[in-house]
Amino acid sequence: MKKHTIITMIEWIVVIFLIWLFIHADIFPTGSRTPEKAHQLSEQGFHYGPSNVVRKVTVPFDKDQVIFLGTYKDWFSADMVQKKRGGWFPSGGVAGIKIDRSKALSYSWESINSKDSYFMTYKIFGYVTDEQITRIELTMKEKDTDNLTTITQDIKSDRMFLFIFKGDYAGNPMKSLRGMDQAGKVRYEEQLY
Amino acid sequence: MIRINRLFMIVRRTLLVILLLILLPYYIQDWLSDSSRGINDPIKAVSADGEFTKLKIGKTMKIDESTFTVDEVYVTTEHILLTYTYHTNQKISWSFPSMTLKLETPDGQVLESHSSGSNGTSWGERGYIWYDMPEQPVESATIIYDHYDRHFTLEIPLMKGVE
Repeated sequence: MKKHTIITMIEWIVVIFLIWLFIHADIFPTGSRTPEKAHQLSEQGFHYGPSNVVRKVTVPFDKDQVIFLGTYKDWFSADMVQKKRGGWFPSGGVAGIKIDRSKALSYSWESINSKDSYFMTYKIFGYVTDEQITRIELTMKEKDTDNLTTITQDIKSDRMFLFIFKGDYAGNPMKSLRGMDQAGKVRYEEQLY
Repeated sequence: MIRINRLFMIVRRTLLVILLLILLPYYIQDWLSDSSRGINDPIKAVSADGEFTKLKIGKTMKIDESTFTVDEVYVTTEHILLTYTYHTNQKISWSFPSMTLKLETPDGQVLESHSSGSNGTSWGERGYIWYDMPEQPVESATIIYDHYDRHFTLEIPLMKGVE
């Protein structure tokens, strides 16, 4: 073989090796291909779950954020994944919260910065232990005015609720969380500020 | 033919240069952060307590798909400092919940950490955890990982000559 050909071959081998290194090192993380995969890896890396997902919700005002509402043994969570540069990455809320069975319901809330930091995504979610509760009401203060608005969600067989809304940095607009029975009687109430 | 060869050579050498330019800084940085623990030399902090005993441990516990290795233990009159290496198989992962690790002594004292630190790497992290010395001196202790439904333990010596 000519010396020239050998050099060419060595160069190609080095290029292929470097390409392999580049992919292997994951210098520019590409994330996961699906939100499900990102959620699964997030829980694995946290040594929690795999949780039993009861609802997969895409944030209505931001299609790049997906929430997996679910339970795992005695805990509940609303894990969030976010799409960046075409791939799905873990975001907030992988940690499970203990279901307190001595209470009518257990809840948690969290606000997460959007990718461009223009707004916050609020999520308040929980697990309802009290079987009489069929509806959850969330009361919020409207921005700029002091008017109150209430949004509701029916509790189905999975006993879980999840409210998502867009917020800003002005602070938590939530006022109260209530659990009502079929007749509309308040069985649980918690102030949220 | 010569033209095609020339084109291939340009492509090949351009790739070579670009890849080297990306990979070299990455590996240099990786190597630099791996060689330092990011904990400002634990011996310096330990020395503040006066005399200390250094024990090489090198014991590993598996937590799901990850491994947690206790590298060294430093015992002073007031503190126990534990250095660890945490390996995950994920590129993007949560940091290790080191503050949840408890130390249980054979006589039933449970020590909780009040200070820890870590330095993330491409494969996991290196870190350290401080504990206060138990009231009664002990020869060994059990590290307890108890988080959600995961429960793992690891025995470590706290005195020289103890297995």
